[in-house]
Amino acid sequence: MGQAVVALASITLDTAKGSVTFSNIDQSFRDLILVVSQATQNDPYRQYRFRVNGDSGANYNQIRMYGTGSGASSSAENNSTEILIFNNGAGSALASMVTNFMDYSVSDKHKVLIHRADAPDAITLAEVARWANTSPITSITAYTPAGEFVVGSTFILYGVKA
Amino acid sequence: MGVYSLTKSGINNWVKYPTFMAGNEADGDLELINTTVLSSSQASVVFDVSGLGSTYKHLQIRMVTKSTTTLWGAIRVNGDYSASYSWHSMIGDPGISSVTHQSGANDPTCRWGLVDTQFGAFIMDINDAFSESKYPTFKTLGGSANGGYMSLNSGSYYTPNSPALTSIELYVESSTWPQYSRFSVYGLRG
Repeated sequence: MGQAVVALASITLDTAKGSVTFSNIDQSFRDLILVVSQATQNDPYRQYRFRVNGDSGANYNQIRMYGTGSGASSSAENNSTEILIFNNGAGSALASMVTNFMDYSVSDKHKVLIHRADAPDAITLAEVARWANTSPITSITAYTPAGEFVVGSTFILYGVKA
Repeated sequence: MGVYSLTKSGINNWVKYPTFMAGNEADGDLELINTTVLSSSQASVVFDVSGLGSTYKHLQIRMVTKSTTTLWGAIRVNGDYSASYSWHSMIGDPGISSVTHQSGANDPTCRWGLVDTQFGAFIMDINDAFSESKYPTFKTLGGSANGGYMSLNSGSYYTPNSPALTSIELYVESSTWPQYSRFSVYGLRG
Protein backbone atom coordinates (compact mmCIF):
# COMPACT_ATOMS: atom_id res chain seq x y z
CA MET A 1 0.00 0.00 0.00
CA GLY A 2 3.01 2.31 0.43
CA GLN A 3 3.76 4.74 3.14
CA ALA A 4 0.99 7.09 4.20
CA VAL A 5 3.27 9.80 5.54
CA VAL A 6 5.83 11.35 3.18
CA ALA A 7 8.46 13.94 4.03
CA LEU A 8 8.00 16.99 1.82
CA ALA A 9 10.51 19.55 3.06
CA SER A 10 12.92 20.17 5.87
CA ILE A 11 14.47 23.38 7.15
CA THR A 12 17.28 23.58 9.70
CA LEU A 13 18.34 27.10 10.56
CA ASP A 14 22.01 27.92 10.16
CA THR A 15 21.33 31.52 11.11
CA ALA A 16 18.75 32.91 13.50
CA LYS A 17 15.55 33.92 11.74
CA GLY A 18 12.28 35.51 12.75
CA SER A 19 10.16 33.34 10.46
CA VAL A 20 10.16 30.18 8.38
CA THR A 21 7.93 29.70 5.35
CA PHE A 22 6.95 26.62 3.38
CA SER A 23 5.54 27.75 0.04
CA ASN A 24 4.17 26.06 -3.08
CA ILE A 25 3.07 23.15 -0.91
CA ASP A 26 2.34 19.91 -2.77
CA GLN A 27 -1.45 19.62 -3.10
CA SER A 28 -1.60 15.88 -3.72
CA PHE A 29 -1.98 14.93 -0.03
CA ARG A 30 -4.95 15.26 2.32
CA ASP A 31 -3.26 16.41 5.54
CA LEU A 32 0.03 18.01 6.48
CA ILE A 33 2.08 17.43 9.61
CA LEU A 34 4.61 20.05 10.68
CA VAL A 35 7.13 18.84 13.26
CA VAL A 36 9.15 21.59 14.88
CA SER A 37 11.94 21.68 17.40
CA GLN A 38 12.82 25.25 18.17
CA ALA A 39 13.82 27.83 20.68
CA THR A 40 13.64 31.59 20.45
CA GLN A 41 16.04 34.30 21.53
CA ASN A 42 15.67 37.98 22.24
CA ASP A 43 12.00 37.44 22.94
CA PRO A 44 10.88 37.89 26.54
CA TYR A 45 7.70 35.92 25.92
CA ARG A 46 9.01 33.06 23.74
CA GLN A 47 6.17 33.46 21.25
CA TYR A 48 5.29 31.11 18.39
CA ARG A 49 2.69 31.95 15.75
CA PHE A 50 1.30 30.72 12.41
CA ARG A 51 -0.24 32.23 9.31
CA VAL A 52 -1.30 30.41 6.18
CA ASN A 53 -1.36 31.61 2.58
CA GLY A 54 0.04 34.94 3.77
CA ASP A 55 -3.34 35.81 5.29
CA SER A 56 -2.92 38.52 7.95
CA GLY A 57 -6.64 39.23 8.16
CA ALA A 58 -8.88 38.52 11.15
CA ASN A 59 -9.62 35.00 9.94
CA TYR A 60 -8.22 32.74 12.63
CA ASN A 61 -9.99 31.14 15.59
CA GLN A 62 -8.35 29.00 18.24
CA ILE A 63 -8.90 27.30 21.55
CA ARG A 64 -6.36 25.63 23.78
CA MET A 65 -5.91 23.68 26.98
CA TYR A 66 -2.63 23.96 28.79
CA GLY A 67 -0.79 23.49 32.03
CA THR A 68 2.01 25.67 33.29
CA GLY A 69 2.74 24.01 36.59
CA SER A 70 0.45 26.32 38.50
CA GLY A 71 -2.77 24.77 37.20
CA ALA A 72 -4.69 23.69 34.10
CA SER A 73 -6.39 26.35 32.00
CA SER A 74 -8.24 26.93 28.77
CA SER A 75 -8.38 30.05 26.62
CA ALA A 76 -9.51 31.07 23.16
CA GLU A 77 -9.29 33.85 20.60
CA ASN A 78 -11.77 34.45 17.78
CA ASN A 79 -11.32 36.54 14.65
CA SER A 80 -7.60 36.83 15.30
CA THR A 81 -5.03 37.91 12.73
CA GLU A 82 -2.83 34.89 13.48
CA ILE A 83 -2.75 31.48 15.14
CA LEU A 84 -1.14 31.92 18.54
CA ILE A 85 0.52 28.89 20.07
CA PHE A 86 2.96 30.10 22.68
CA ASN A 87 2.98 33.22 24.71
CA ASN A 88 4.13 31.85 28.00
CA GLY A 89 7.02 33.76 29.42
CA ALA A 90 10.78 33.67 29.39
CA GLY A 91 12.66 30.45 29.06
CA SER A 92 15.38 28.83 27.05
CA ALA A 93 14.42 25.18 26.75
CA LEU A 94 13.82 23.73 23.34
CA ALA A 95 10.15 23.53 22.47
CA SER A 96 8.74 20.50 20.67
CA MET A 97 5.66 20.92 18.51
CA VAL A 98 3.55 18.83 16.16
CA THR A 99 0.82 20.48 14.08
CA ASN A 100 -1.66 18.60 11.91
CA PHE A 101 -3.22 20.67 9.11
CA MET A 102 -6.32 18.64 8.34
CA ASP A 103 -7.90 18.53 4.87
CA TYR A 104 -5.52 21.31 3.82
CA SER A 105 -5.84 20.65 0.09
CA VAL A 106 -9.63 20.65 -0.26
CA SER A 107 -11.88 23.60 -1.08
CA ASP A 108 -15.13 22.52 0.59
CA LYS A 109 -14.47 23.53 4.18
CA HIS A 110 -12.51 25.79 6.50
CA LYS A 111 -9.08 24.49 7.50
CA VAL A 112 -8.56 23.05 10.97
CA LEU A 113 -5.25 22.57 12.81
CA ILE A 114 -4.65 20.21 15.71
CA HIS A 115 -1.59 21.19 17.66
CA ARG A 116 0.48 19.71 20.49
CA ALA A 117 3.33 21.65 21.99
CA ASP A 118 5.64 21.26 24.93
CA ALA A 119 8.33 23.45 26.41
CA PRO A 120 9.51 21.36 29.37
CA ASP A 121 10.50 24.34 31.49
CA ALA A 122 7.23 26.16 31.05
CA ILE A 123 4.17 24.57 29.50
CA THR A 124 2.40 21.60 27.95
CA LEU A 125 -0.38 22.50 25.56
CA ALA A 126 -2.95 21.19 23.10
CA GLU A 127 -4.76 23.49 20.70
CA VAL A 128 -7.29 23.44 17.89
CA ALA A 129 -7.34 26.32 15.42
CA ARG A 130 -9.47 27.12 12.37
CA TRP A 131 -8.62 29.27 9.40
CA ALA A 132 -11.98 30.59 8.22
CA ASN A 133 -11.28 30.17 4.53
CA THR A 134 -12.13 27.33 2.16
CA SER A 135 -9.07 27.86 -0.05
CA PRO A 136 -6.45 25.11 -0.04
CA ILE A 137 -3.38 25.89 2.03
CA THR A 138 -0.46 26.56 -0.28
CA SER A 139 1.95 28.18 2.19
CA ILE A 140 2.61 28.07 5.92
CA THR A 141 4.61 30.67 7.83
CA ALA A 142 5.77 29.98 11.37
CA TYR A 143 7.17 33.02 13.11
CA THR A 144 7.98 34.69 16.35
CA PRO A 145 6.77 38.30 16.46
CA ALA A 146 9.70 39.39 18.59
CA GLY A 147 13.19 37.93 18.47
CA GLU A 148 14.27 34.99 16.33
CA PHE A 149 14.29 31.21 16.15
CA VAL A 150 17.75 30.09 17.21
CA VAL A 151 20.35 28.36 15.05
CA GLY A 152 19.65 24.66 14.90
CA SER A 153 15.86 25.00 15.04
CA THR A 154 14.27 22.43 12.74
CA PHE A 155 11.00 22.54 10.80
CA ILE A 156 9.95 19.41 8.89
CA LEU A 157 6.81 19.18 6.76
CA TYR A 158 5.12 15.87 5.94
CA GLY A 159 2.22 15.01 3.66
CA VAL A 160 -0.39 12.45 4.71
CA LYS A 161 -2.22 10.47 2.07
CA ALA A 162 -5.93 9.75 2.27
CA MET B 1 19.78 4.84 -16.31
CA GLY B 2 19.93 7.84 -18.63
CA VAL B 3 17.49 10.25 -20.26
CA TYR B 4 17.88 10.41 -24.05
CA SER B 5 15.14 12.89 -24.88
CA LEU B 6 13.00 15.30 -22.89
CA THR B 7 10.40 15.84 -25.61
CA LYS B 8 6.78 14.78 -25.11
CA SER B 9 6.26 14.39 -28.82
CA GLY B 10 4.69 11.07 -29.65
CA ILE B 11 4.19 10.16 -26.01
CA ASN B 12 0.67 9.56 -24.78
CA ASN B 13 -0.52 9.87 -21.18
CA TRP B 14 2.59 11.79 -20.21
CA VAL B 15 2.99 12.10 -16.45
CA LYS B 16 5.81 13.89 -14.68
CA TYR B 17 7.10 12.26 -11.51
CA PRO B 18 9.23 14.14 -9.00
CA THR B 19 11.77 11.32 -8.64
CA PHE B 20 13.06 8.22 -10.35
CA MET B 21 11.49 6.22 -7.51
CA ALA B 22 8.07 6.51 -9.09
CA GLY B 23 6.23 3.19 -8.91
CA ASN B 24 8.86 1.85 -6.57
CA GLU B 25 7.93 3.52 -3.31
CA ALA B 26 9.01 1.63 -0.25
CA ASP B 27 6.31 0.25 2.02
CA GLY B 28 6.05 2.12 5.30
CA ASP B 29 4.89 1.09 8.73
CA LEU B 30 1.99 3.58 8.72
CA GLU B 31 -0.38 2.83 5.85
CA LEU B 32 -3.70 4.16 4.67
CA ILE B 33 -6.40 1.48 4.91
CA ASN B 34 -9.49 3.36 3.78
CA THR B 35 -10.97 6.84 3.41
CA THR B 36 -14.61 7.87 3.28
CA VAL B 37 -15.68 11.36 2.20
CA LEU B 38 -19.43 11.81 2.43
CA SER B 39 -21.21 13.10 -0.67
CA SER B 40 -24.38 13.47 1.38
CA SER B 41 -25.35 13.27 5.03
CA GLN B 42 -25.13 9.90 6.68
CA ALA B 43 -26.06 8.54 10.11
CA SER B 44 -22.76 6.77 10.68
CA VAL B 45 -19.60 5.58 9.01
CA VAL B 46 -18.56 1.96 9.40
CA PHE B 47 -15.12 0.54 8.67
CA ASP B 48 -14.63 -3.20 8.30
CA VAL B 49 -11.25 -3.98 9.88
CA SER B 50 -11.66 -7.73 10.18
CA GLY B 51 -8.66 -9.72 9.17
CA LEU B 52 -6.25 -6.79 9.49
CA GLY B 53 -4.73 -7.99 12.74
CA SER B 54 -2.17 -10.08 10.90
CA THR B 55 -0.80 -6.90 9.32
CA TYR B 56 -1.33 -4.08 11.79
CA LYS B 57 -0.97 -3.66 15.52
CA HIS B 58 -2.51 -0.20 16.01
CA LEU B 59 -4.94 2.01 14.12
CA GLN B 60 -5.31 5.74 13.66
CA ILE B 61 -8.50 7.45 12.55
CA ARG B 62 -8.34 11.00 11.18
CA MET B 63 -11.66 12.84 11.00
CA VAL B 64 -12.88 16.20 9.75
CA THR B 65 -16.57 16.74 10.41
CA LYS B 66 -19.27 18.84 12.07
CA SER B 67 -22.84 18.62 13.34
CA THR B 68 -26.05 20.66 13.48
CA THR B 69 -25.37 21.73 17.07
CA THR B 70 -22.80 20.85 19.73
CA LEU B 71 -23.03 17.08 20.07
CA TRP B 72 -20.90 14.15 21.09
CA GLY B 73 -19.08 12.09 18.52
CA ALA B 74 -19.04 8.44 19.55
CA ILE B 75 -17.69 5.06 18.55
CA ARG B 76 -19.01 1.53 18.70
CA VAL B 77 -17.01 -1.49 17.69
CA ASN B 78 -17.73 -5.02 16.52
CA GLY B 79 -21.42 -4.20 16.21
CA ASP B 80 -21.62 -4.23 19.99
CA TYR B 81 -24.43 -2.00 21.24
CA SER B 82 -24.29 -3.34 24.80
CA ALA B 83 -23.00 -1.50 27.86
CA SER B 84 -19.37 -2.42 27.24
CA TYR B 85 -17.60 0.91 27.04
CA SER B 86 -15.90 3.35 29.34
CA TRP B 87 -14.70 6.86 28.47
CA HIS B 88 -13.22 9.95 30.00
CA SER B 89 -13.11 13.46 28.57
CA MET B 90 -11.29 16.67 29.38
CA ILE B 91 -13.00 19.60 27.67
CA GLY B 92 -11.70 23.05 26.89
CA ASP B 93 -14.43 25.63 26.74
CA PRO B 94 -13.17 29.20 26.67
CA GLY B 95 -11.89 29.97 30.10
CA ILE B 96 -12.92 26.62 31.56
CA SER B 97 -11.38 23.17 31.70
CA SER B 98 -13.99 20.60 32.62
CA VAL B 99 -13.91 16.88 33.00
CA THR B 100 -16.67 14.43 32.46
CA HIS B 101 -16.51 10.72 32.46
CA GLN B 102 -18.31 7.47 32.36
CA SER B 103 -16.62 5.16 34.81
CA GLY B 104 -16.88 1.44 34.73
CA ALA B 105 -17.77 -0.70 31.78
CA ASN B 106 -21.40 0.23 31.65
CA ASP B 107 -21.94 2.67 28.81
CA PRO B 108 -23.44 1.47 25.52
CA THR B 109 -21.43 4.08 23.65
CA CYS B 110 -17.93 5.52 23.84
CA ARG B 111 -17.77 9.28 23.35
CA TRP B 112 -14.62 10.67 21.75
CA GLY B 113 -15.19 14.42 21.37
CA LEU B 114 -17.55 17.34 21.01
CA VAL B 115 -18.50 18.16 17.43
CA ASP B 116 -19.73 21.67 16.68
CA THR B 117 -21.40 23.57 13.84
CA GLN B 118 -18.16 24.43 12.03
CA PHE B 119 -15.94 21.71 10.62
CA GLY B 120 -13.60 20.44 13.29
CA ALA B 121 -10.84 17.85 13.25
CA PHE B 122 -10.09 14.86 15.45
CA ILE B 123 -7.31 12.30 15.53
CA MET B 124 -8.00 9.01 17.31
CA ASP B 125 -5.33 6.45 18.11
CA ILE B 126 -6.50 2.91 18.83
CA ASN B 127 -3.77 0.96 20.54
CA ASP B 128 -3.64 -2.83 20.40
CA ALA B 129 -6.68 -2.84 18.16
CA PHE B 130 -6.39 -6.54 17.34
CA SER B 131 -5.12 -8.03 20.56
CA GLU B 132 -7.12 -10.91 22.03
CA SER B 133 -5.65 -10.27 25.49
CA LYS B 134 -6.00 -6.49 25.81
CA TYR B 135 -8.99 -4.19 25.69
CA PRO B 136 -8.60 -1.74 22.78
CA THR B 137 -8.18 1.86 23.89
CA PHE B 138 -9.29 4.98 22.01
CA LYS B 139 -7.33 8.20 22.51
CA THR B 140 -8.70 11.26 20.75
CA LEU B 141 -7.60 14.88 20.50
CA GLY B 142 -9.52 17.49 18.55
CA GLY B 143 -12.16 20.18 18.40
CA SER B 144 -13.86 22.81 16.31
CA ALA B 145 -12.43 26.23 17.30
CA ASN B 146 -15.91 27.66 16.81
CA GLY B 147 -16.06 29.85 19.86
CA GLY B 148 -15.41 26.88 22.07
CA TYR B 149 -14.90 23.16 22.55
CA MET B 150 -11.85 21.12 22.16
CA SER B 151 -11.39 17.87 24.00
CA LEU B 152 -8.87 15.27 25.02
CA ASN B 153 -10.60 11.91 25.35
CA SER B 154 -9.81 8.37 26.30
CA GLY B 155 -12.05 5.36 26.02
CA SER B 156 -11.99 1.62 26.04
CA TYR B 157 -14.00 -1.37 24.92
CA TYR B 158 -14.43 -3.94 27.66
CA THR B 159 -15.49 -7.38 26.67
CA PRO B 160 -14.48 -10.69 28.21
CA ASN B 161 -14.52 -12.38 24.84
CA SER B 162 -12.67 -11.52 21.64
CA PRO B 163 -11.82 -7.85 22.11
CA ALA B 164 -9.98 -7.78 18.79
CA LEU B 165 -11.68 -5.25 16.54
CA THR B 166 -13.56 -6.38 13.46
CA SER B 167 -15.58 -3.25 12.75
CA ILE B 168 -15.57 0.41 13.77
CA GLU B 169 -18.69 2.56 13.68
CA LEU B 170 -18.35 6.33 14.05
CA TYR B 171 -21.48 8.37 14.64
CA VAL B 172 -22.74 11.61 16.19
CA GLU B 173 -25.36 11.30 18.88
CA SER B 174 -28.85 12.43 17.86
CA SER B 175 -27.75 13.64 14.42
CA THR B 176 -25.99 12.72 11.17
CA TRP B 177 -22.61 13.39 9.64
CA PRO B 178 -22.98 16.08 6.94
CA GLN B 179 -21.76 16.24 3.38
CA TYR B 180 -17.95 16.62 2.94
CA SER B 181 -17.21 14.91 6.26
CA ARG B 182 -14.06 12.86 5.95
CA PHE B 183 -12.99 9.74 7.86
CA SER B 184 -9.68 7.97 7.19
CA VAL B 185 -8.33 4.83 8.84
CA TYR B 186 -4.60 4.09 8.97
CA GLY B 187 -2.81 0.98 10.17
CA LEU B 188 0.48 0.94 12.04
CA ARG B 189 2.60 -2.16 11.82
CA GLY B 190 4.37 -3.40 14.89
